[in-house]
Amino acid sequence: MSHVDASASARSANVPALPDAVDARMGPRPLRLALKPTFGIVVGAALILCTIFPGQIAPASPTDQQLVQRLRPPVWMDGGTTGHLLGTDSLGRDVYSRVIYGARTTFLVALASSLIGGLGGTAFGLLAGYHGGPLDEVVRKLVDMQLAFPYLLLAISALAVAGRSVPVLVVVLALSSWPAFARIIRGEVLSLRQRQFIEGARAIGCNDWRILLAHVLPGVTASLCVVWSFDLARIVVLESSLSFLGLGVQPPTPSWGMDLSESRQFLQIAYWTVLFPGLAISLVVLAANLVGDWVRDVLDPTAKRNRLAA
Amino acid sequence: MGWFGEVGRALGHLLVVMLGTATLVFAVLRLTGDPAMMIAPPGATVDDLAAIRRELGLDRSISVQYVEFLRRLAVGDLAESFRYRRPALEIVIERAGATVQLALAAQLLAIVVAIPLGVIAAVRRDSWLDGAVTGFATLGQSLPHFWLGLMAIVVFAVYLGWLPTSGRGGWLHLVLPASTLSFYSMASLTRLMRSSVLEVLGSDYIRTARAKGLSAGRVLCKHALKNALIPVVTLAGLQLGVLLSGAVIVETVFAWPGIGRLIVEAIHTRDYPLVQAGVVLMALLFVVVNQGVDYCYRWLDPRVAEGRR
Repeated sequence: MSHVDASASARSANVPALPDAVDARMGPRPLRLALKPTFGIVVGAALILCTIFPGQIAPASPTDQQLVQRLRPPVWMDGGTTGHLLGTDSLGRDVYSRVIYGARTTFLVALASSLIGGLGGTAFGLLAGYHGGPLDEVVRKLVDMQLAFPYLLLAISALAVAGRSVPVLVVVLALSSWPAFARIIRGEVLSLRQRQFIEGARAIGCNDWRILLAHVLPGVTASLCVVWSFDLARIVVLESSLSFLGLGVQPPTPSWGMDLSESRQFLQIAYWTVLFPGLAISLVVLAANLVGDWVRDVLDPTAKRNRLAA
Repeated sequence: MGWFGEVGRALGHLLVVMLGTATLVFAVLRLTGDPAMMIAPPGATVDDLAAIRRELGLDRSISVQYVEFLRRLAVGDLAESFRYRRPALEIVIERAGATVQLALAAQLLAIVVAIPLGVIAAVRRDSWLDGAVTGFATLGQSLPHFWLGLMAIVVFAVYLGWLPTSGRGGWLHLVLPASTLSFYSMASLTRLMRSSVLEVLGSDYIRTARAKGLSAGRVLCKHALKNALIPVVTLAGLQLGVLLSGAVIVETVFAWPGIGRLIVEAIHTRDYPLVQAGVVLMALLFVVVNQGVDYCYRWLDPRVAEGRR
């Protein structure tokens, strides 16, 4: 069984495989550890502010079209104006304002999907790891099956079929995230359930639900935080990729991926229409990845070894 | 477990995964609108539509269509493309070359860059060099393919004019798409190589080798690298599958004529047989590569098979 876990953890795209036990032994490196959470907190705060108060931050409406002003360059280039700090797109909309309003779409969609997928995956992982047997077999087969399938293709087909709406998008994205949770939580639970405090809990007569929720679940929260941050990063990329293919959030809702896709044809004459939405996506993904790294470094030294041992 | 048991189990697993994939593809695609409407000429009558449905076998019940689909799949006959009026599998296989070329080139590039970078970072741990490599790796895992590709087009094709913007032609056409596609896997391989070398360098047998008085270079090349490469080779293999599907985006950005772009186009024109053939072939490649890598891994590192790890 162990080979399955070892190679399966290598199979996941965003959860780095075979984590470095050496780093854990070395202890924290002050500078790098401080840099990662700071960056994450700053970007996260900006994202939340833009989600709640886009109207107060953005100078213009994201959907206001001024065709006379179309494809204006950013303020530091010839022809740029202070009215449009990051220039305008092909319909004369303010790029800066669209980037700010786009944050809401990205953040809410990613949050909803990773919460749904994370809850489902964690539940499956807990049950499979704790009970073992046929349920474990089924969960493992399902995870394998999904990982054996180029998920992007399934997402594309599902969105093409079920219509391009936010609820469908959330479901498709949530479905993409449960295997990572299920697999890693299962591995953790497998080793946790051998531990004495679980045996003790069983001995004093706790029922399975109580053991799972009160004793096993707290033991996997550190890993859960790590998986969740990486998953958030992965979902933001997947969401924007689908929007880029024209299958995500539909106009007129501002979305970074869709802006990129719409502006693609003007790439050669107006690079800023593509540069800034993409930069926003990259910053958010980078922040989530760094926070994941950081949480793992700080909280997870033992869990890392467990994942190898599971 | 005997050798036959192992092979039997692997084949069984392969079969289950393929059946699941095929069912999923079938279910997802048949839930969509009416393909007869898509291929019928404008102004077609109800009778015309019925005739098209009959011809394509769409008038039969879903379960009959499903069984028929599986039967044909088993013998490698995946129906005709609605649009091209040719066997779908043939078209997909024609395009497969471009995708495989792109994925292999990308992975080769990733490996060639990642291994030295990871080794340097591990050997010079905590130096500025390590910081730079780790930073690059984190960045590489965070930049989305499509944006990276578009920016690469702006810089290298539009402003510098060194490389063509899109399409498939000489090897120059391969440079931008392959580099774009390789970036993510380059980053994760670099990270893994670094941590793997660090782990091996901390192990007992390396201490012994050092104690024997071997030079640092000899310890690294003769003893450490071989073992450090095991997880990296595994991940590199497993990533091939991910690269094949990641190619959908990169192929769209660079107008690369591969399976990914074919599938996206086929979805927009509701060309079911073509989508089915494309997705099933990709899934097959993916599963075969993953299983193969899994077995190579156990062969390379017998500890894994014995369950001691």
